[in-house]
Amino acid sequence: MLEVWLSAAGNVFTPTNIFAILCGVLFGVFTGALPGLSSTMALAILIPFTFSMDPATGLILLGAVYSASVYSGSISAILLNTPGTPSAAATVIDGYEMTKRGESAKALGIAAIASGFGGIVSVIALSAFAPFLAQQSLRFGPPEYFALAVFGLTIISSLTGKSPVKGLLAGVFGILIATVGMDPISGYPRFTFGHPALLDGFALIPVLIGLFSASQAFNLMISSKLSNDEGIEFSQIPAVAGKVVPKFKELLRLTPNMGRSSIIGTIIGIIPGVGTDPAAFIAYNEAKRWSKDKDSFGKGSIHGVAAPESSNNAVTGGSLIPLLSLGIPGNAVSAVFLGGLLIHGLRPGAELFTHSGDVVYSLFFSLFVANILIIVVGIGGARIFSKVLVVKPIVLGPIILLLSIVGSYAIHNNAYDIWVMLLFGVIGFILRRYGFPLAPIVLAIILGPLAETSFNQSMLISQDNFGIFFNRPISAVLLIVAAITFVSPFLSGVVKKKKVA
Amino acid sequence: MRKSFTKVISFMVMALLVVLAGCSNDKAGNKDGLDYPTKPIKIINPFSAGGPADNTSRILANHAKDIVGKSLVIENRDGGGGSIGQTAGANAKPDGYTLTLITSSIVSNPIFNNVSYTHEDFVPIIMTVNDPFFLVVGKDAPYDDAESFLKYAKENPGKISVGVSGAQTVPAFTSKELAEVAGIDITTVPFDGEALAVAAVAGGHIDALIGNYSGFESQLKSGAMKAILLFDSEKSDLIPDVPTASEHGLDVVSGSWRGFAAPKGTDPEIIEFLQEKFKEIIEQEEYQEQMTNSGINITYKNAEEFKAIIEDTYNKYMKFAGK
Repeated sequence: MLEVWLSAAGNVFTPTNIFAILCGVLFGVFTGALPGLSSTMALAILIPFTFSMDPATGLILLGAVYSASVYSGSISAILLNTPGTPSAAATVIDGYEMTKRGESAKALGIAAIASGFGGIVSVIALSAFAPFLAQQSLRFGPPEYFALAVFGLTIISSLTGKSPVKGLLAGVFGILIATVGMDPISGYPRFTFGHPALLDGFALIPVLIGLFSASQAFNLMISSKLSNDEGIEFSQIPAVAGKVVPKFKELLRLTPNMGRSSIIGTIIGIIPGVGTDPAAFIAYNEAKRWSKDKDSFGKGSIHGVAAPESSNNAVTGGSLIPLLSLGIPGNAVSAVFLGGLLIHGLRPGAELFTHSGDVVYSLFFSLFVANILIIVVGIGGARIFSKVLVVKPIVLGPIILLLSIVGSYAIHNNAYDIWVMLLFGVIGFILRRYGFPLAPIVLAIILGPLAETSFNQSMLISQDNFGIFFNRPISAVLLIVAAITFVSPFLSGVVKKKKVA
Repeated sequence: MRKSFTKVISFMVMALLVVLAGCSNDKAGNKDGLDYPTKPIKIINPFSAGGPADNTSRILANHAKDIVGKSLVIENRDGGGGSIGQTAGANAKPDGYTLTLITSSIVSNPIFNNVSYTHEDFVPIIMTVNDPFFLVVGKDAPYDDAESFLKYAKENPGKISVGVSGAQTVPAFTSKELAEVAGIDITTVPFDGEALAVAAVAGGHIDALIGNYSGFESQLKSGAMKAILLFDSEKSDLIPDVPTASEHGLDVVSGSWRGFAAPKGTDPEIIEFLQEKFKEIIEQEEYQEQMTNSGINITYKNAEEFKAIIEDTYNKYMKFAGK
């Protein structure tokens, strides 16, 4: 085994491959940080270039881009209140609060460390237990997906902030949006009003860019005209203050959280078809559940930044597990990755590890290096990234709006998505004004379709027997956890009130 | 500082792209009188990046520059089950500079949804791929060949669940067609893509699936799944021991074909030029190697033959559309 790793290290530490990792990380950071340029797009752009490369170098480049782009969505989430990729939507909650307190540098530092940590944990899982974990991933059938989606949706109750009613309303709004488009089972259009562009529903990225980025841009532009509280809110944000690297004590306190979040992320990553976004939210929820200081969440808790960031980067390694051992790509990024493997004649499966072990282990080793590089780039760049806060809101607002337009167009090369983005920008702006949390909307848009599809699939398989959800252990346990998750924030609220009384 | 950082990043990205792209040469190859192409040709791919459809266009584009004379640029315009990109492709200027990667969805989208084009708005150039569908079952299933499958299905109506890559996709119709032709009752379960259907069969959550070879190849090799029926007129080179449906007296032929088309009204000389050049590309050894590596079944049908196949697909859909 040691021999394999040594030769992998030898493969990776060549000028070409190190250059590939470096370029991959920088390119990934760049695309991930810009709202609208997603990991999938970054990989798709690079794929044709890898055709002519050595197989290992091509995969190393793709792996580095994938990891870095998932990390860097947090940069804009923390600094601008707008996630660079959907997977950073949960990071916004506490990350931007830290920025408002003037701790942007520290938040960025923690995000980088947590991302690298999560990535490394998942690579360990990937390189040590891939075949075993891949088999476990197959235990997830439609009923388990349904239970997982329901569990994910119940997290909304802990994302509600001050007003549970507003949080739940936001969640329902998200689910309603998710029903637009082709019915996943019958294939007939719903709520499309004869408009072909709506057949696939509202695309997640333009909606997300609208809700977060465009609404934030409107906010920035308007606030510079206002003299009330919100106007002051932006002008008071200190550009960079505090240290980037957290104190050793703080890091030590973050370790259990990062460990738990990384394991959650890896597990979610292994399950085909779930992905980075729910993983981040579930990790956030669990960090809050097990924290002694629940009230600090949503108010700039370092744990609230570390949890989603460890988790979404842990998905990267996790998602490669079913891909490499079973040939099952669980998400769009893995599908692109699969193309990169196949083009060189590398066939996923048990044989891949024996026949092309040198390539596979070089990829694994390079992922370690890439994740360490993410930490270095993240910490090194934190002060530079934070400089964006020096820009006056009246200038920053239009820049964000411009990026939002470009990003929404770029995702499908479709001008229609710009209108979707602007529509949701206005909706997001109004919702923010009236104190509705945005995170539940995102969670509902992501998980609503998963819940619907898997529910219908389960009904088809069981021939309309609801028992299928309860006589399968994983599904039953997840549903029970979901019930507890949903009820507990309300119960603890009641208990607290009683104590006060 | 922010600006200079962005500059550094952009520089790195540019440097990366330049280094990576540095290998290709410009070598124009033009012929008699036809002043085409004078600029890069855009190919609209109405599906997202990654996956066999994307590879079909990208691998072709990868070899195009030397042969066609100008590069082929792939533009992914996904959404609406392909209808967004297809609308753009059908309405593009018929000057030969905007082509569309077409699949059977150019036939099915206009039938089932309210779109502004039909398959007749496209002029076929060449068909490069035909991936026939297989019926695949899990290793623990109580049947391991077509005969026992059909027998079990007859004895247990509705019990066998067959995964397909989505609602109203070609595999979904194939499942319904199989049920009708064989006189059996099976439950068709749509998934979000073939990969998730494969995972569901591998995990024993559903009993079978109808899909392309590239999707279940790894499972087949590991012995977790078994292909029992092929919906094609001839046996497959990839797994020759799988019987065709017609060998079992079932007249079901189905596959996902892919090719390239231009908008209606394009100069026939341009169509002929492209057909010849694309044919030249698909005869290249490296092209064939990359396609085969990607698990894609290479086919060649000229414009006329391709047109007939599209018509045939249309007739079949119309037959099943009301059911």
